[in-house]
Formats: sequence, C-alpha cells, structure tokens
Amino acid sequence: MASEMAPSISIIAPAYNESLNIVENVRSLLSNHYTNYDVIIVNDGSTDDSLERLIKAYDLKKINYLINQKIDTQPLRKGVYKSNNPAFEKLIVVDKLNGGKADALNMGLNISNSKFVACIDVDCLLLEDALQRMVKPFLEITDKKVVATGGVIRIANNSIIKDGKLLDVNLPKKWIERAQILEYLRSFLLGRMAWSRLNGILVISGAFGMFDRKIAVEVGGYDTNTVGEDMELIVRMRRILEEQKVKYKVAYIPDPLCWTEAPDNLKILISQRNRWTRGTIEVLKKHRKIAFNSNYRNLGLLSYPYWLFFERLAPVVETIGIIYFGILLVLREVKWEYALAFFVLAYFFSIIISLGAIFSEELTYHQYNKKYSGLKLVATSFLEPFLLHPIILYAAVRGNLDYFFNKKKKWGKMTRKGLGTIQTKAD
Amino acid sequence: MCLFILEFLNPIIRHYQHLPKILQVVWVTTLFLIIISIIFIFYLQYLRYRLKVEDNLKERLSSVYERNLLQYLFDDEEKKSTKQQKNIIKKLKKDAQDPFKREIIVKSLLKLKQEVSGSTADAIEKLYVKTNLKEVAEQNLKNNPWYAVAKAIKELKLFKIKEVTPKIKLLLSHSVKEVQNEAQLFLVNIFGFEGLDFLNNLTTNLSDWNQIELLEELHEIKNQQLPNITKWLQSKNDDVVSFALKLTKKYNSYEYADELINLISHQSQPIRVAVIQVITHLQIFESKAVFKSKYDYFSEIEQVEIMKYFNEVADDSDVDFIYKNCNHTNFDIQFMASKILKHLNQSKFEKLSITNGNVKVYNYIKSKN
Repeated sequence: MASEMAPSISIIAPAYNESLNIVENVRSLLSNHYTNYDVIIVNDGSTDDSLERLIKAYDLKKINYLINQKIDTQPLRKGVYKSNNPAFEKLIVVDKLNGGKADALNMGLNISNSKFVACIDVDCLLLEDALQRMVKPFLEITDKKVVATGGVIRIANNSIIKDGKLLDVNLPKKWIERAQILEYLRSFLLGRMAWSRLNGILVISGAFGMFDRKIAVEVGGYDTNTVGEDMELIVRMRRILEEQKVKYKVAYIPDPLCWTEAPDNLKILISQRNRWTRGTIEVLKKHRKIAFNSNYRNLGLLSYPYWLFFERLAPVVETIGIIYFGILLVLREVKWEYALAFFVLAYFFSIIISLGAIFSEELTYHQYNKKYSGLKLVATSFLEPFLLHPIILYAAVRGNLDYFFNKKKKWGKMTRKGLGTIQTKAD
Repeated sequence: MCLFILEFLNPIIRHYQHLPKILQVVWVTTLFLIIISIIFIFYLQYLRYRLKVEDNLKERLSSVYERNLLQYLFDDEEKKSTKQQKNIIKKLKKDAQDPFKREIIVKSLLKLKQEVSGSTADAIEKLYVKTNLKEVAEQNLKNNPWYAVAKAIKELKLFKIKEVTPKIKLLLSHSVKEVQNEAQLFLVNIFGFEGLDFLNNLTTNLSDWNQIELLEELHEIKNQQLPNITKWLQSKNDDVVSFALKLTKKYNSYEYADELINLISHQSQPIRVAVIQVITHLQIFESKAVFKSKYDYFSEIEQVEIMKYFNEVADDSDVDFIYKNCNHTNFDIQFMASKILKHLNQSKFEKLSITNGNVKVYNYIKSKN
C-alpha cells in the first residue's frame, strides 16, 4: 500500500539470544512493501552478541528516548538505538533487562506510536504484502470494531529462502516436521476458518498477529505471568469488550503470510507443546468466569467450552482412557470386539479430517505442488496418529504435571536452526 | 469373480448380523469413512494432476499469447492490418470464447500493458475491444454472482472502457459492497475527480480501506485540479466528510480553512480528531483561538492532537496556554507542552514546579539540547 494515508504499523519482534540469524531476520522484516511502518526489535536481555551484531550491521546509534511506561516492564539495559543510515530509518532496537516474551512485547507496545502493532517472532518470515493484508480488516469492516487479526502460520522447514524471501516451498524430509505441517493445515485451514465465521477465535498465534495498539494498551498489554500470553491477550480483550457491550471482531486472514521454523526434534517439540498446554490451562483458569456464561455470548457458550473440552481436557480424558485400557488388559477384561471397532472408527475419523485439510489446501493455495508431495501428505495423514499424536499427548500430560507440580517452569528452551540455515542447505 | 467376493464377504456379513446394535453402527460408520477416505485420496490425486496440467497449459498458452501480442503490437505501424495481424485477432477472438483461455489472454494483455505506455498502451486497449473480450466482461456485469460482476468491473477499469459507464453507474447501488466499491473505483479511474460525484448522494458506508483505494486511484491521475469539496465537508455522511478531509490534506487545500474550523465542533469524535490533524498539517493559524477557548471541552485524544498542532505553530502568545499543560496527567500532552515551552521560553520552563508526575519528562526535556 503506497498511500501516505495508510495507517501506521509497528512490527514488534522480541529477541532472546537470536544472534545466529538476527541480522538476516531483521533485514527480512525491513523489506515489507507497506509504506507506513517501523520495526521495533526488543532485545530481551540476550546473553549473546545479538545487540552488537545489530549495531554493526545496521549502523545503530544510541538515542536519548523517554518511554511512556503505559505498561510496566523490566527497565532498559543499554537503551534505545536507531540507525544512522537512512536506509534503515524504520528500525528501532530496544535493549532491556530480561523479562520474558510478554514483557518484551509490552516494551514494544510502550515504544510504538503507531495505530496498529504486528507482534511477531523475530525468526518468522513475512511475505512482502503481509502487513497490507493483515491491516485490511481493520480498515474495511465498518459495522464492528476490529480489535485484532490473526494470520496463518506455515512451516518453512526445507523450503528455499534467499535474502529474506521465500523462493520455493518444499515438504520437509523428516516425518516429525511433515506431521506438523499436516497439523498446521488442519488448525489454520479448517479450525480457525470455522471459528472466524462464528467470530469465536480465542487465540491468535504469537508468531504473527496484529492488534489495535490503543486497545491492546488499554487492556493492559500482555500478561507476564503466563506462558500462553498470546491467547491470554485475545481472551482478555474479548472479555472486556463483551463486558462493555462493544460490537467487535477478531478477524482471521487465511492466506499463508508468515512462515516459521517448526521443531525438528522430539525434545524441542515436546518442550513447545508442554508450554502450549500450560498456557491453555493458565488462560482458561484465569478467565473461568467466562465459562458457560451467557453474558459473554459466543465467547462463554461456544469458544470457551470448546477449548475446555477439546483442548484442555482432551489429553486428560485420553490418558485416563489409556490407563483404564491398561488395567483392563492386565485383568484380561478387554472386550476386543468393542475396542477394535472404536479404535478403527477413531482412526479413520482422524484421517478424514486430515484429508479434508489437504483437500482445502490443494483447492486454495496449492503450496505443496512438487511431485509426490500430495502422496507424502496423504501417507503422513495415515501415519500421524501413530507417530505425532502420542508425542503431543505425552507433551500435554507433561504440561499438566508441570503446571500442577512444577510451578517454576516457564518457557523452556526453544533452540532454532534459523531459516537462514535452510537457505544455506538449499543453496 | 462375483462369486469369490460373495464367498469372501459372506462370513463377514454373518458376523456383522450377530453383532450388538452399537457395534453395527460403529462398523457402518467406519466403512462409510473408509469409502470417503478412498474417494478423497483418488480425487486428491486427480485434483493435483488437473492443477498440474492446467498450470502447464497456462504457462504454454501465456507464452504463445504474449508472443502473438508482441507481434501484433510491434509490427510496423504502417502495416497495422497485415494478414498476419488479422490472423492474430481472429485467433484471439476464437480463444476468448473459452473462459479458461480468455483469462490467460486478459492476463497477458494486462502484463504487457503494465510494461508499456503511450500509443502501445492505447493499442492494447483497442485490441481488448477488437478481440471481443470487452463484450464478455460487459455481459458479466449482468445477473452474475457478485464476484464475477466485481471482477468484470475491475477488468473494464484496467482497460479503460469508458462507454460502459452508464452500466457501471447502475452498479453503484448494488446490494454487495464489493461491487459498489469496484464501481466507485472504475468511475474515479476513468473520470478522475469527476468520478467522485457519487459522494454527493452516498448514504452507505465508505470504509477507510475504500477511501485509501480511491485516493490511490486519484494519485495515478496527473495534473488534476481538486474540485470544490465544500459539500462533502458538510455532508451528513461521516464517511464522506472523512474522505473530504483526506482530500484536503493530500492536496494541501488551504482554501477550506473556514470549513475546517467549523468542523472542529463536529458531533463525531473521529471526525474532530481528523479535522485537528488536517489543521495541523496545513498549519492553519486561525484555529488557534478556537482550540484555546474550547480546549477543556475536548476529550484527551483531541487534546493530544491539539498539542501536536501547537508543537507546529506555537509562538510567544501561546506560552501561558502551553505552561498550563506542562503538568497535564496525560504523558503525551505533558511531554509536548514541556518541549514547546522550553523552545518558546527557557526561563519559564525552568520555573516549572516539579512534581512526581512530571519529574521524568522535565529532566528529559531539560537534558535535551
């Protein structure tokens, strides 16, 4: 959008020990086609040389900056930096004491003067028109106040990326990454699309979401006491707006605008899903007032109960089922006729959902267009219930246990290879 | 073969008949899901094959059409009606009857049109008409799903087909917003500011997105004079007022200063905020008195915008007004007021009473050169 009348947007990207790829990632963020935007990188107390690398690469200079502390955050460490080079005038780097992702995002909200903020993971690859597409619902919908838009996150593992641009989409070679692709397709192309129609979206991925800055600040910004800060902010925003009887919408853009790196090993995957589980538990517990409460309309009667039963309780029910089955096995009380019938039914039901997601993908974006990619995805949908699902279940159980018995556990380590590495591999 | 299958199925059916009802339901459902899965898989493979074939065909046809079009366009001007050119038109005309090929021809034409200008661009527009592509787009304006209508309007706009204007004007009141918007963009693209006449009677919403799209269309048109927009600034439709304000700002129209000052007391807060922003952009000094006298009646959001205005235009006569705001509870107002005061009157700035509420701002401004 070239018009100078286009509303201002700040991209807020928290970074913690991202030294390996931070320079390339920031370059990608600076190459968006939108006119009126800036990029705020919040270096959240990194212990590596992230800041030094940014200073060197972008000719940054420390500036005198007074922050309007609308939301409490950890204080600045080395300060605020801007580039001496006019080519990077859109870049602001904030170096602060470590306070976690939510705290870093809140610092970004304090620093930003823009009308909208796009909160993203610094290692995400945004398509050049991503900001324009994400801001469109805010400007287009007139009968409701749009408070946030969520974008689709796609997995870029094994895809070809050069100079911060996605050149070629490939299916990853490892089954663990491929299974996650299928999982993301189901979630973003089927699940969220349907929830969007009902205006019932309860979570916008922390990897890429856009907010009305004023509303985000007015509700108090991100909650630093949860690991599910992305979901918590949306639930809180919606809760407050429902209480104020405001006509609002959380919009969803189904186009693949943001590409990220998915965990490629079990340890990191389990750690990530463990955190997601704890985040869900924390958010649902914090906002339990909403549950089955007709004052909150769809939020209380549809979205919340869905998350409670199908996200929060599903792994618990499944685990109890497995334990019960184990007991029956030991006691030789299993009625195999029933067990087998229900197992096969559940299996094919899960396959139908996955095939539906692949079908939607083919009919719409058709990103995986290489030879045999379709067959590989179909094969993955048959194998995923045996390969990925048990891991996800295990991570969810660990998440539950950690929530109740290991309160000190926070984010956990999320080591990434970086999308830049993928480029090198492809080259 | 059939006998073999029956023989194979017989024990399964017999077993099934002896199952409890619930298991019968489960197995029937499972069988149904299996059949659906198999259909899905085969259809997926077919779909991928079809998409691949289509992609290849598209690629092949695009290069053929582009070659034909280049040949047609860049042949010697004198020989515009050579047999070869007639053959190209004949071929394109024939292919344009097939919707799939038509789309590729239109894309190829548009691609070329973006790369050229002047007489060649005009020739492309003429070719669009000669090959009957226009007729199909015109047909699509009638009784079609809304998205086909919107697409047809957009296509006619890109090829600048002026004679369909009466039909497009009828679509300004189409029941679907997207069609209305495309019709508006068509009129502005073809007629420039004159195309904005629909604003005179607009009773529906004109979203910010549409307003920006209209401004971008106007931006493409050079050497145009902004018409009199007083009636839009006075419109009862807030969206029309908002758009008129954007025009005033974009075209630096100082002549509407009086209208802008009147709009300071508009009933809608977003309009008032936009008015203050335009006044700030144009640096209209006459509004100073109004802002000062009515300052306390404005909301905090408007007060912030007013302070931004004073940041641009304040002089010695405003020192007292600015001084009062240096202890404002709003950070932005306090910050800007202190900054302006220091700039206007350093000694008065240094005499500011320091409280817990303004110490940070005071020290920061004081430390700045």
